[in-house]
Amino acid sequence: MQVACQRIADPCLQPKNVYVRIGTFQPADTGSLGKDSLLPNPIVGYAETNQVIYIGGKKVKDFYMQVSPMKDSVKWFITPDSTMAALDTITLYYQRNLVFLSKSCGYTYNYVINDYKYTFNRIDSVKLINGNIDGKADVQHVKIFY
Amino acid sequence: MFSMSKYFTSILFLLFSFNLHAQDDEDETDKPAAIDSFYQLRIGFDISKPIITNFVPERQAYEFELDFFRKKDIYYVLDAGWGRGYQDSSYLNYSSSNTFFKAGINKGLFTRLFPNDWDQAFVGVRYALAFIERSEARYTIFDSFWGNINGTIPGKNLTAHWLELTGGVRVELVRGIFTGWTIRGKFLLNGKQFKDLPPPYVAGYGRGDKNSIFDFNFYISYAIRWKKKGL
Repeated sequence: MQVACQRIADPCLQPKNVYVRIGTFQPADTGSLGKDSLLPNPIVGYAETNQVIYIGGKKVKDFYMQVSPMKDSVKWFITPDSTMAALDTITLYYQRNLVFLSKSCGYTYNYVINDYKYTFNRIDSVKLINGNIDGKADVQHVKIFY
Repeated sequence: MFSMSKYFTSILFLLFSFNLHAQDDEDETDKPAAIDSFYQLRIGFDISKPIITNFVPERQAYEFELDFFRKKDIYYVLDAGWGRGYQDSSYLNYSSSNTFFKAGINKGLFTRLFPNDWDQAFVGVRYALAFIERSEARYTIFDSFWGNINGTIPGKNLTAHWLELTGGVRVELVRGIFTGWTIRGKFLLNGKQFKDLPPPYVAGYGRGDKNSIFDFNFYISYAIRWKKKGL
């Protein structure tokens, strides 16, 4: 139990969790970058646990998902407009790397995505942009094209 | 508060040492040729580190300094000591212990004015070596979504070496008894090996996860002197 004036040596002040940033896109007329695509009423979650992380209500184009530090793969489900009958799944296969953060924060896991597969009920294609999941800000890792 | 008193004490001793030199000038009677007529061997103990341990128990150090005056303004210096440190949090739990040795010189900033003038202000340099024993580390990665993960990192023996730039003063309070401070800028030369898991604390250096450190010592010292042969 923490009490007032108790000295905490070197408190951990940095974020420890890392996320996979997923963007949704429409194919562009030229090039391969794609145009941002706001999903009208998306539902996104973890397939193995049936746990929903994002559920409709507003238009979004970026999702932040976690991968499991206990396994070497993770499977997500995603649907752009709450049509549960037309769910797609995306499976990432990755390598886990134990990383020392600091004395006060201890360790965390970073990940390197080696492979991925997906279904294409509604999805046109998926592209892995950056496979290093290491907590760097403003890095998009996966692009989903509809 | 602690750092304020440190700087206050430092300034006080600096001024005190200048003051003694000023008084000595007025009483000067000895000839310059006799100034270097004695050797001096001095051993000091850093009293600040045990005091700090009372407030920061995860850092424990005992530091000694041996210096030898042979001639002119040069003092040959050996430092040695030991200590231990630990990190005890919900994320990480491990400890380390080490011994250290330093060798170098101090050069007096002011010319000695007479044979009994042993007060000094100095700058110096050291090369330092520490032998570190790091224990097995137990870590926990807290994850409210997937569940917590516990693990261990094996213990390891490490060697650290670093350079120091020093400066300070010594004042002889009564015959043979000195006090004074040394400030030290420390620059770790092989910090790369600590990247995976640095020792929590390295006696003689400081935090193992820093590549450069500013530190200080406050010594109580005892000196013995003997006359040079042929003088």
